[in-house]
Amino acid sequence: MENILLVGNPNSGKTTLFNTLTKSNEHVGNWHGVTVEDKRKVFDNGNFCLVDTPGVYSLSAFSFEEDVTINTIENEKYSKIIQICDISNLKRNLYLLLCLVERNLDVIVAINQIDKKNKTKVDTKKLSTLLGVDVVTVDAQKKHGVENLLNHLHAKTQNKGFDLGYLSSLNFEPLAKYHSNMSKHERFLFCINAYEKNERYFKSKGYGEDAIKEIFDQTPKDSIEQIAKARYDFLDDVFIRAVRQVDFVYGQSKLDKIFLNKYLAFPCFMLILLAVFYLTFFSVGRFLSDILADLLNMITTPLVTKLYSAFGDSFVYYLFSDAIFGGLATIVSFLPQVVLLFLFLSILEDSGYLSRVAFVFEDICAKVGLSGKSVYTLLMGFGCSTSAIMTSRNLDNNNGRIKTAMICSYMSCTAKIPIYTAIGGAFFGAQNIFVIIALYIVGIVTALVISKILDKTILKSEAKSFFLEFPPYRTTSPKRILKILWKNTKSFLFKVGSVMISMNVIIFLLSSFDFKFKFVYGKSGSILESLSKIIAPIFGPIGFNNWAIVSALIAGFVAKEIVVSSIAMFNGIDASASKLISESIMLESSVVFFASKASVLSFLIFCLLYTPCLASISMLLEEIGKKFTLIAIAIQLVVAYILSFMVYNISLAVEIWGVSVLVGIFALIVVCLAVFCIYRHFKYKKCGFCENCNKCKRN
Amino acid sequence: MMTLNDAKLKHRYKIESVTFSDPKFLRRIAELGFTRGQVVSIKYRSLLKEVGLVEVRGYLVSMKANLLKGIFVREI
Repeated sequence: MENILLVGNPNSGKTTLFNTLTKSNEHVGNWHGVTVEDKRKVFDNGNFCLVDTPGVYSLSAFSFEEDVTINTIENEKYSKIIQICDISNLKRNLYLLLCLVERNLDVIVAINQIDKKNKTKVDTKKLSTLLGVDVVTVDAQKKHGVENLLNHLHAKTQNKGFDLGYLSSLNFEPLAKYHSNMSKHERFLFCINAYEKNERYFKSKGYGEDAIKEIFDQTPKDSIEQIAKARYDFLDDVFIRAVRQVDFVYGQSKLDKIFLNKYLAFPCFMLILLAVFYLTFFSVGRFLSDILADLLNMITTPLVTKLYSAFGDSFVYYLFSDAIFGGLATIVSFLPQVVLLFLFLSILEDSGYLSRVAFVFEDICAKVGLSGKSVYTLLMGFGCSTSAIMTSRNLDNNNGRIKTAMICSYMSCTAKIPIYTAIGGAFFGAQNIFVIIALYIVGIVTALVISKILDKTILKSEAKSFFLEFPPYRTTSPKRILKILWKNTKSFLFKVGSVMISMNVIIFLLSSFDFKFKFVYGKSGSILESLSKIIAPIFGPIGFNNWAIVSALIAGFVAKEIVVSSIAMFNGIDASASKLISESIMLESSVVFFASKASVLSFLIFCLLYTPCLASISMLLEEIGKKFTLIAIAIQLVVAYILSFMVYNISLAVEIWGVSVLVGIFALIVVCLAVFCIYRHFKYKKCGFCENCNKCKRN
Repeated sequence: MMTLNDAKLKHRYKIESVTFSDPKFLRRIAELGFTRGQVVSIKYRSLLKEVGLVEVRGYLVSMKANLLKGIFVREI
């Protein structure tokens, strides 16, 4: 089987073509850096294995994900490269082609006709002759031209090669003394890498730091610009002969007058987020949850009755009715909300709006040591922390990447929604929407504050280098909406669902037996109760010195989804007998476990901020290493405890003395902020851009 | 001559030179098409003016002020 590499600029349609060729359903989006790792799959009846790679602009890496692609190109064994080029931005896409062809790699160019508004016409035959490679046109989404592409793969033709004379303006002579014993092609590679000042190439060839510096000194000071200009000048010439381009600015839209407007951008973003949350949690989401809950109830109620008549008040009956059906009820009840949130995030991602969000937020993010691109990772954190941590790979600043990965678990992921809606709903009723919004805001603010602290201490920002290409606005097709719904439903039911049910069973077993393996379900003395009682006093100062809540928090360390079902189970609620984990049932258990609204608020804050699920921690380990994962966990536990303590005591004070306490606290914060601002005003502040601006008069 | 960071919104400028001490930035800027003689213009600026949206070679790219300050331009 032959390996085929799929490469291209970011957001050119690589993964869409990968999905089309291999009939897969990999994640795609109208955004820079959606693919962050290699993906491979067999296609064409087992003849080929297609390797999808993260987007690159050239063969010099600028970020971690680009490094993945360049490593694959340099070290993987493959017979051909398919380079997908977006027709709307063809010249810059073909710049990468020149880098590949100069290295004598065998390439087929697939021009993706992604944007129907663009009227660019390409003479593929002429382009093929001028560039010396096979050129085909495809529509990766509508599967047009895919057969032709496959025919070219089967034809096994080699690149015809073309005149690299466009580089003749570059003076390679001073480098001659270093490569006299090399072959012609190696000499050429040596020279272009020297001109590109590509340390990676020379290090791979065994050159030391001093030797590399000496070689680079032989090239002109502006060699990087010279070689780039030579390539673009050549492409300008190719375009005159083979491409008919109309006046068109890729990514430009009248909508930007609103979404990039200084004064409207923030309110628009907030409105969009509010609309997403309202539809997800309160209108469509709740409606669908109720329907599913009723359906499941119809199925499980007769089953539970039959189980009771068969087994009576026994272990088997409680195992099914409480642990298994209870877990199932939780999954089904919250499935619509989870799937809807993922759907809305995907629609936002497809729309091209996220690039605008990154642009708008860059200023603010920079203040706390993050990049505007971090906003995407943080937004993904509202869906699932595990996948969000993975997307942090597309950040090109290493410290920024670690910071983003460390703080994205403070975003309220979908697994925490059951806790907010069930427990919050039980105590706060219709006002719970404000509690949920407040929890989301607390999560965001905590994340930003921690990022700022990390930025000032162990993870200082490196050179600021934000750049981001703007994609055009696009709509999501109904077919893609169905695909997203199916993919996320399947993933939630099988991946998350299986964990939830198995954890529910484990928690049930621990709470059903004592240390002598005697069945004590619903009575005191279980293993879990004994263990939880040991650590429960630690939680006394934050309002829930209660073994059942502590046990639920321990279970939540494995997966947040099971916190609610654990609390319900400890209270002996037959989740299938009534309206599942609805607010009325939770109220029953909450009354038993929570002493006051203050302790509920404290519990919600603790759930929001403490250690995310095991899956997130394992992803953190992979992405940022052991040291920073341990630091992240320590920070999460400490911050969760401190904030819960503050919220609990302030809420208690409000409950006792009324709202005047809140006014007092607000006044204190305003005074502190005023003092801080005055202090900053008189303190010299470095601008960070001194290298080129020379405007720091106060320096 | 001025830097692209000082450019007025929606005015057209020609690149005179690109200067960065770190070759990594210079390489990326050049690859994106910011080469001598190229016409560029700033379309939007962020609220605190630390990011600009630049039109170059028929597409839009947003860049931080420190990158814009490394691109020297002349108004046309």
